[in-house]
Amino acid sequence: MLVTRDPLFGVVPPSLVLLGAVLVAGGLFAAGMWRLYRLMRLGKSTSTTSIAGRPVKRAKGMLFDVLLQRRLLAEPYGGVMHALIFWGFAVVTVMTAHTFLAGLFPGFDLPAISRNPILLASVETFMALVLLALSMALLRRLVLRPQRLTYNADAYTVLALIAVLMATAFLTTSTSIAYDVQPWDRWAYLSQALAPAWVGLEPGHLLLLHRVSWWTHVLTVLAFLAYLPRSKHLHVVTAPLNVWLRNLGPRGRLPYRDVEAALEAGQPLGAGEVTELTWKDLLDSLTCTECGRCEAACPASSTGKPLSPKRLMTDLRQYLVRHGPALLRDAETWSRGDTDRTLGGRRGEAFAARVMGFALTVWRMLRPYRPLRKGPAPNGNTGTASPPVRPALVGETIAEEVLWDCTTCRACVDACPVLIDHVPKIVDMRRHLVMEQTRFGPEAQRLFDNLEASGNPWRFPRATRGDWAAGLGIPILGEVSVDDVDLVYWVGCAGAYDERYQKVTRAFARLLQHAGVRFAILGPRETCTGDAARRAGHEYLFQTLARQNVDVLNACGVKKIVATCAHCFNTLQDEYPELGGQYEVIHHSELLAQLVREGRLRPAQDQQPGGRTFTYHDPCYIGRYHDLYEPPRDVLRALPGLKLREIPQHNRARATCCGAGGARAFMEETRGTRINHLRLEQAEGAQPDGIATSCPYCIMMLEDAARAKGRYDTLPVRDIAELLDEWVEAAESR
Amino acid sequence: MNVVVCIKQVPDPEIPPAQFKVDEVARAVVPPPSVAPVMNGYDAHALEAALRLKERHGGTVTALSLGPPSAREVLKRALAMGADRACHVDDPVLYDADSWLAAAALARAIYRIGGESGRSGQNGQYGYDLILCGRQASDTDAGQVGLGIAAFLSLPALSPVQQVEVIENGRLRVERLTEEGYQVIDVRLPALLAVSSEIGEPRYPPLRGIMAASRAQIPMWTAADLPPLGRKDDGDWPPLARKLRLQRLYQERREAACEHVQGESPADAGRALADRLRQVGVI
Repeated sequence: MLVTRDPLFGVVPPSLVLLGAVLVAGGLFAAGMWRLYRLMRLGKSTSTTSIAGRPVKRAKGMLFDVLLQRRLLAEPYGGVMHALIFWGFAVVTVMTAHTFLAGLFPGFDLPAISRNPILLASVETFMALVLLALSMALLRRLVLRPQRLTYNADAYTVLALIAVLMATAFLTTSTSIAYDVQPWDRWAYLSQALAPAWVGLEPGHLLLLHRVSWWTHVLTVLAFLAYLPRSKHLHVVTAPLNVWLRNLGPRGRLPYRDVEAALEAGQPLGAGEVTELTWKDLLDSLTCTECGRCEAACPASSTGKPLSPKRLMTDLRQYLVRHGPALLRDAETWSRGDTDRTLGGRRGEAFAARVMGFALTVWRMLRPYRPLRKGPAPNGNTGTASPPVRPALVGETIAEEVLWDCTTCRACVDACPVLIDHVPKIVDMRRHLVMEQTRFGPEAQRLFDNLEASGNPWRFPRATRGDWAAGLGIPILGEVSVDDVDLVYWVGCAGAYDERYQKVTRAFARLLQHAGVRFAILGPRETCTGDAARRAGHEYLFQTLARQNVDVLNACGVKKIVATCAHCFNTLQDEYPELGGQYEVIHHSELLAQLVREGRLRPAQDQQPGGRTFTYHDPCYIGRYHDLYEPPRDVLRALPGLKLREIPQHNRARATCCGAGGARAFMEETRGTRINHLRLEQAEGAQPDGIATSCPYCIMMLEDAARAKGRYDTLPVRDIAELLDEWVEAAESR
Repeated sequence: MNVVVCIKQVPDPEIPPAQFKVDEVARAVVPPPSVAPVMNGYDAHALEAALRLKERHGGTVTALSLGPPSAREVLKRALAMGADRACHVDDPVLYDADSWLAAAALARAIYRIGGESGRSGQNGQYGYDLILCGRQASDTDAGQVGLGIAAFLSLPALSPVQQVEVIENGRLRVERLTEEGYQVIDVRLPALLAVSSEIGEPRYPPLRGIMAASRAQIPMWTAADLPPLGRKDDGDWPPLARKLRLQRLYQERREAACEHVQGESPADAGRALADRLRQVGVI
């Protein structure tokens, strides 16, 4: 039993000592949390997350991502290790709470807890498993040393605190059993097994050992509590919050900003400062537990580029904690002059201010870290040191090149166990660089210039956008009414102009004609969707392009769209609704899978003797962004004689990006090694005769890599539409 | 330093030449219908040079363009990039101007700009210190207008220029490109420089600049608003009239034929190819 009865030194009742310790630790914890809360509230409000919206979905997220540790277990070693500690923590906390109540209120005892056989046995079992997990953690940190982890004192402190808690728990219970065994102690089976070790001690020493152990245990719990707001272990508080507050909007939708209104009002056009990020962005940074799964999944990190999604989060947090207080002081000074406009000023602010004032006083009394005092100045002046100069968040704390390395592939977001959303922050900071600072490379400038001048990234004339369809009998909307077609084919810039990708466009159009799908294209009236401009941070240009397209589509009365480009598909489906464009948008992989399923397209046996083995590369913008993993595979599986073999490890949600997303397709890759080469090497692991995919950027990047590695002829890269077309044509010619 | 930059609006030179048609009757090049007019590339470099001089030494930058109403878009871009003011010269009598007429109109406009600034500045009697233009325009590639302006205004002119720096009040050190290298020349202001791309990449206009420029009022001058240069013997100098007349504009037709030469072995094929080439008189 974790109970101690005798007064400390025979004078002070132990319950009072414990109460004092609880108040001190609780105060430190509360002050630390209040400070972090206020720092978080430096962020601006956001509409993409809400505390109350869609509670069922949020509760489901809590069940899977917190209780069942789904995302953590995606990586077995670290996942099992963490799950054991987490579940152990959950079970042991019940007992710990009882221990504290019994310590604070002498005579308190809930037999339903303290003598519950199942609970006692579970606590003992989990404590042993936590010790096992701790040894796994040490083995990993000291021997295996994976690159993705952060090796700092904080991590070891946390592990040591947990180890002390487990050891003292076993010591306290086993000495108690050795001193005075109770009938229910047999359920504490591990402690009971340890108890004989203390048989040789005389009762007085045994009791002393028990008391020292008990006090060490409870004080360690309190020390841990006080330490939390200063540690990455804070995630025990923030992670469940962050999971609950997850963004439930479409994954492919970047936050909308009314650029013109912001310009009129003189508001910032992007995030160049922590106050220009949202409070949820700041909560994300406070939640990061430095596990580095994002970094291991990131194509930029994996190819030796400066970007690490983990570093981005920890740099942001460090900046917030170090320089946030100065920003808060500025805000306070400002609000004092105008009481109607206090920070986040809303109703009840007077009460909030009073609470804040009280908490600040408590915080100042209890604050563990005093500002560094470097002794008197050389001239003997002991005046306060001047405040540290605050570096810029974007450009100095987070380097520009870090921001430009991102392909927006979402691998980091998908890997993060605490649901941090890295991509929108990166794009928001790019917006600051592009729209506020006009700081970007010549390649981005060419992209913007070309999109402005011609509505496509390569500056082909608008008038020739429909030329690929010449002589193919494909109607242009306007020549036919939207009522006479089943859907509109969104060709995209690559589909319209790129010589290589035009083959895909024509193959897909042929398949549609073959299956009897009535469709039309927009021809010269189609313009770039603006995906690249938006992800490069030029929100204004994106909105200009998107509005043109929405105007044309709405004027034509378009209802249903099919797109071959994964990026066009994402922007049309997830981002156009906010700009007034509501359409049913499908990706060509979905449509082709459906046409094959319905028997409207009948592929024949492969003409090549022995058949061919293809692997499939998942494009990020239909894969991780839209979970379209099966439709393209269904198409490939429907091709007789073609064998589909997956890329080892890196397939579906764990597929590595080709390197072209986030406008990277239009920029040189000068840092680190090439992402497309890495991806080709991964694909070669499947030993395929060819690579299938379903996005123009992916084809471009993988073919470039194949060319560079001398594998252009031996490892063809094909769109699923090209392969299906080949198989269907073979059936025709027979 | 007060700089006037002459900027021409041209059809987007990035459009592949095959997209352009030649109308031999009208003696005109017809761009494809959707081609957006853009700022002539070298003129953008000239504007960039002007903005850099302004950033380093202060003063003003005035963008000046002669052309149809669509030229205003180009002037707005100049304002967005950082020019302080813009002037648009537009008059049907000036359309299809030859180099001589364009230079005459622009020289008069610059004279007026100088007058409006009160003929002040470092070179008091002129009202401007430096005139910059691109070395040539991408549509005609004549490279005449800048030199013409200098001639009308009796200014020294250098072309093509890759580097400009102020060495002392009223004097510039200029690097002028030559066939293989460059000359370093000091020139007394006011002067005209025709700038080449070596001077540096033109900046992308900041978004706030674009928005402000879209609302800017740009004065429009017709031929009647352009004052004569005030020579005593001629009250209307230089005359706003054409001196050149295009006689013929046509597209050269190039014909190409492809012929496959075959043989049993590579050696045979090579022999057959050599025979054929001798037949047609190439070797």
